[in-house]
Amino acid sequence: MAYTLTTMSDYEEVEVVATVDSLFRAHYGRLVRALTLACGDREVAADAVQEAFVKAHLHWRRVQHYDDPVGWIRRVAINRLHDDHRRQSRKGKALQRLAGEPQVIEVDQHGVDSDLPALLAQLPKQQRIAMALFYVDELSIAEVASALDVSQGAVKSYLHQGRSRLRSVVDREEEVHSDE
Amino acid sequence: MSEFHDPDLRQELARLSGPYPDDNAAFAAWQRRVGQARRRRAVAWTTGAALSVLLGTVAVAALNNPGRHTLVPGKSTDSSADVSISSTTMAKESSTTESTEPETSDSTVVETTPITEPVETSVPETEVEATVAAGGGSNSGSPKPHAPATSAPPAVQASTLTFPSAGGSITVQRDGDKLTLVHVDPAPGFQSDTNKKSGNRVEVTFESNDHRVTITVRIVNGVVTPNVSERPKDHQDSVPGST
Repeated sequence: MAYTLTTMSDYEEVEVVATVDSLFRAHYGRLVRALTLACGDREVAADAVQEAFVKAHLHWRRVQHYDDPVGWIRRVAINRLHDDHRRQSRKGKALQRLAGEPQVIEVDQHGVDSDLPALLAQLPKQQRIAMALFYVDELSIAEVASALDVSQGAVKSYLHQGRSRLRSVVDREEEVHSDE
Repeated sequence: MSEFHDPDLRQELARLSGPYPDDNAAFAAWQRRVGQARRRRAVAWTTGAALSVLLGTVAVAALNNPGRHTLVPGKSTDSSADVSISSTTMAKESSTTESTEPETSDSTVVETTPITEPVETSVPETEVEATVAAGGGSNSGSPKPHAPATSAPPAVQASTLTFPSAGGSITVQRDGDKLTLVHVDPAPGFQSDTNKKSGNRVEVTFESNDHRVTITVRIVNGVVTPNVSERPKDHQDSVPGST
């Protein structure tokens, strides 16, 4: 399709759309999968990532000059997840106070498939996000540190603790498969 | 190789994170959200701009008119209320009949406010001369200019008022606290004489053979106040210049 561009703003608009579009198509799926693992809810993760890309589109004139625009989008999405998490926590505590009973987390201890999500859900939030970004989004430790705004040593600590807790389940799963 | 390299764990976590989402559907949904966000932003900008313009207009208006809450006098309707003209005065009004003599011929001085409400008119463009009416009096030789026209154009807030009487009407222009006589129109049988044509007071006398009508216009407490006095001419010497 041929476009007739008459003004500089037309050129800029086309450039913005093309660039953000390409970023969206290249990174949206990976970000959604990583944040799904981090928050445990695919819809919430997709909503956070889409919101981050919307903000990137609206502020692209500034964002495009950043060293890592995708890193900025990732941080915006993670912050959105933090906000949702805080909101849900307040809501859960309020419901708990209203019910007058402590909230019981149901954890299935039998199946391997249900053990891993349960263990993952019990990890601290930062550990969970670090694991997701490192193992699913395939970021480097430096990139994970930048996304979480922590030091690389902290990221290594998160990965070490998280991996040691999840590794047992993975080993058990491998044993089950080998017995079969 | 990183110490955290763990293909098995990576595979398990990748499986837990689910399949890749449908890019096309996600892209379409994202485009809709972008459109909504841009519309919201445009509405916010428009609303903000409209409010700014409105506030600026109000501020400019407030700065340009500080404390302008005074009433502009000159069109008050109360001046038309006092039509306390006696039958004598009404008889004088038909002064063209020279033989008509007032029934009460004593020295009653009837002071009235204008018979009709002052009418705002435009300032005459040409110089006005009060001509001697038919059956004129002793000064019939040369018409005497009585009301030189105002050469200056009306000021920004000037108003022009016309005050009629039995002896004729005068037109006065008000500019702030200053009054200027701009037009004199004697009634038939009357002759005009301008006593004071500008300042804080304007006074014109209309005379016929047997009557004298004096119109005095002043500004009293910011209000243009006319005063019309009429008396028979044979008593003019006893009450000269009385208003």
